Amino acid sequence: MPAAPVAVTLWFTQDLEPAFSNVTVTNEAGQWVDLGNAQIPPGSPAQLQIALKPLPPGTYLVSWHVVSVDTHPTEGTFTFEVGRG
Amino acid sequence: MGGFLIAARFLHFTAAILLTGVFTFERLIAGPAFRRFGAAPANGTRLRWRLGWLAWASLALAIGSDAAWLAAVAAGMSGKPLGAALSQGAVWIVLTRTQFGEDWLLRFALVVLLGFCLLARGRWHWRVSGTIGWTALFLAAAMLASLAWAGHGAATPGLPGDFAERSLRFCRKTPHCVVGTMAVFKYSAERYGLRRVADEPTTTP
Repeated sequence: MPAAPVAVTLWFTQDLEPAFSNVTVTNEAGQWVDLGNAQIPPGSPAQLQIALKPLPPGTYLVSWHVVSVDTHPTEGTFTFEVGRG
Repeated sequence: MGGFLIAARFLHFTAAILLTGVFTFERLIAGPAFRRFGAAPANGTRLRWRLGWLAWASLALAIGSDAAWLAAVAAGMSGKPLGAALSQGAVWIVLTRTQFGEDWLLRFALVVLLGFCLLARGRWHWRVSGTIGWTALFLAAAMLASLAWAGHGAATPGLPGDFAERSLRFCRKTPHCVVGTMAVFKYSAERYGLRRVADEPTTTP
């Protein structure tokens, strides 16, 4: 993406349990670039959002682990690039 | 852990079905049958005692299996081994901060109220304990119905869809539970001699 995002928002098909859901964003060196405030937005129980620090160009890894209200955990990762392509 | 969770759920469902069946049988089948033939015969007293024993055993099974279910879910949701989940507060987090915990507390409250009903039932002749029996039946049925919220029915998004989905799951689960309960107590009726009671000549003053 040409401009750095200010936050990462994840959408899920089921409502989440805030107490056991989290997301982190790290840079190529493995350093955290998020603000550590992963939260479920009010009124959107199936979303998980985390704010980011100002990101320089580079590749970033999003790692998420969530538990839905039916008690099933799931996790995953994906990457995005800033200022390239 | 998967096997432990499955076993806990199976035992809890079994206990809930048995509890509902005991009070359904007593209120809707045995009670009317014995009232029809006048004063409760000796078989009726014996049957009442056995039903009470079964109810208490089912209640104990419900409490134990529900506790095991809670522990298993806490371990699964926290991603920790069972022992760690129990010792590091995951159970408390599940109880106080998750939807599963809310449903669990509701079921536990129903079980506690059922316990009080059983205590009160034991103190009254069953002709006098009609209100207690009906209350216990309602509580047991509510506990059985609340299990619809304990699975995927809890995860349907949106309030209208959530209520509709939970109602649909309840309607799908309930007939199976009712049929299973009635099958169990058909055997019990024959086992505990209701046929003999029906065949006893009525006494006239």
